[in-house]
Amino acid sequence: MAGVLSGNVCVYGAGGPVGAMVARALQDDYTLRLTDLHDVDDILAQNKPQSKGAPLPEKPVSPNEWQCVDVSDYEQVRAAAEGMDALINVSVLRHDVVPAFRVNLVGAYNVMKAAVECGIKRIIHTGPRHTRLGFEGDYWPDFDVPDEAPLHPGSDLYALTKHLGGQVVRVFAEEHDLEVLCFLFTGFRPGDPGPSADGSGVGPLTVAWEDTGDPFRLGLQVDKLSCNYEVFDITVDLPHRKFGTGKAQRLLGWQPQYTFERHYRRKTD
Amino acid sequence: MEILVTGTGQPLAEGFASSCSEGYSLRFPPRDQGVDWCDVETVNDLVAGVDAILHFAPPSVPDKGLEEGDLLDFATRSTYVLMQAGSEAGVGRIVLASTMAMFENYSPDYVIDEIWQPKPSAEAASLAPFLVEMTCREFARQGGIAVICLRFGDLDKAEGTTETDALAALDGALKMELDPLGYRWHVFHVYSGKRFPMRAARQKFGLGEIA
Repeated sequence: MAGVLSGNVCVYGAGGPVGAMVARALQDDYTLRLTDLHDVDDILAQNKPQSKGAPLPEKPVSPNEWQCVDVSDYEQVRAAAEGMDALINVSVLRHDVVPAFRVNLVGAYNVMKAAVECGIKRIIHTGPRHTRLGFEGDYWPDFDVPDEAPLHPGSDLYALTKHLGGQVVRVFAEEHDLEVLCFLFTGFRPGDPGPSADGSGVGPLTVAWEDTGDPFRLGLQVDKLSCNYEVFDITVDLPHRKFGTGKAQRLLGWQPQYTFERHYRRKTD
Repeated sequence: MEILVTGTGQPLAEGFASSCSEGYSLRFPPRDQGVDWCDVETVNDLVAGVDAILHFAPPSVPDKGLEEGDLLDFATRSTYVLMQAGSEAGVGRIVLASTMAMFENYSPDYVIDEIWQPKPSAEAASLAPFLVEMTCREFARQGGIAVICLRFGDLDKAEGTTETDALAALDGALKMELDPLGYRWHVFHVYSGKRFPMRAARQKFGLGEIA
């Protein structure tokens, strides 16, 4: 199928920082149905960014809208998907067993089932690529790990439940000939490094919050994918050569503005 | 060997409990005990002191059908809680009773053995055993616990698995020697019909007739 260049897009998990950046990146080209378990007014009233420098969502301006949707409730997910041209799932719960399975796994199932029932072909799914889980199978000793390298979450609750959700999405995509992009993230930093010292280091899979939204716009717009479930590590091109092969740059044309060069170079006079 | 058996209400679990060989001491909570297999404390208590776990997922058959999402949640979360409890208690061996059904989407022309990727349907009932396997596999990959996954066909159907083969495979998996430096995730197809070959299980556990 051709890319989705305009139309209606539903975002599940819009109240989180990635969802916030997705909305900012898409609001000029699409009509957005932003959904989250919590109302945007409550999120803004709490004013608790996920981490220092992490963005908060903005109150949508009509025709964009905000709906409270529990992704573990299929009927709510299905209703939010009605009339949409594409779906984006950035919902996540990390630390508690029950919501981790309900959101990361059941939520993924519900979004994909809704996509099929509503005839929606383009979906962007998200998850983590955990790089340091403390056992040999996590690729940490390796280099040049490609975007397609299978995730090895071990027993980590967050990594495992998101991985299970990703597998559900892959099975749906392959069986129903959908076009799913799966964006994997690891580290986020503000584009402005603040007072951190030159050469203080940066993780091998890192993206600036400010650059986080644009891959989603490009992911909606890209023409036919080479497979039903295309995985991208979303990271700036870093010189460690551990992870990140520039796939998002090559296939989506993504050009991140913040490259963190100052973090891996010595200060020059 | 002290073994915790899940799978209340499942014919193969019940069959194993009623016919297992000497030397096994089973903890097999009956249905009327109403075990909540997703409750961490309950499962920790059940796992304490056992040498192995025989896991039939989902661990109990609900009285009434679960919604799709609830089925996925129950099957995977109960397995996660069980594996976590097993890991923390130092249980070295999990035998997982899984299903060959996740290969039925392949063409019948294919000769499918253990190296093939499962191909479940995009439906909760088909995805659940696949995701249970992945959960167990990831615990095994992390270390400290070995999982022997036995994939069975429908019990006692012509294209399925005979109870004799199934019980022998369960017994063999509980006794199978494990290499502490080798793989911790082991898969065997235990299928008595024609559709899927049973080469590895036959060799390992001495099952069935040589074709």
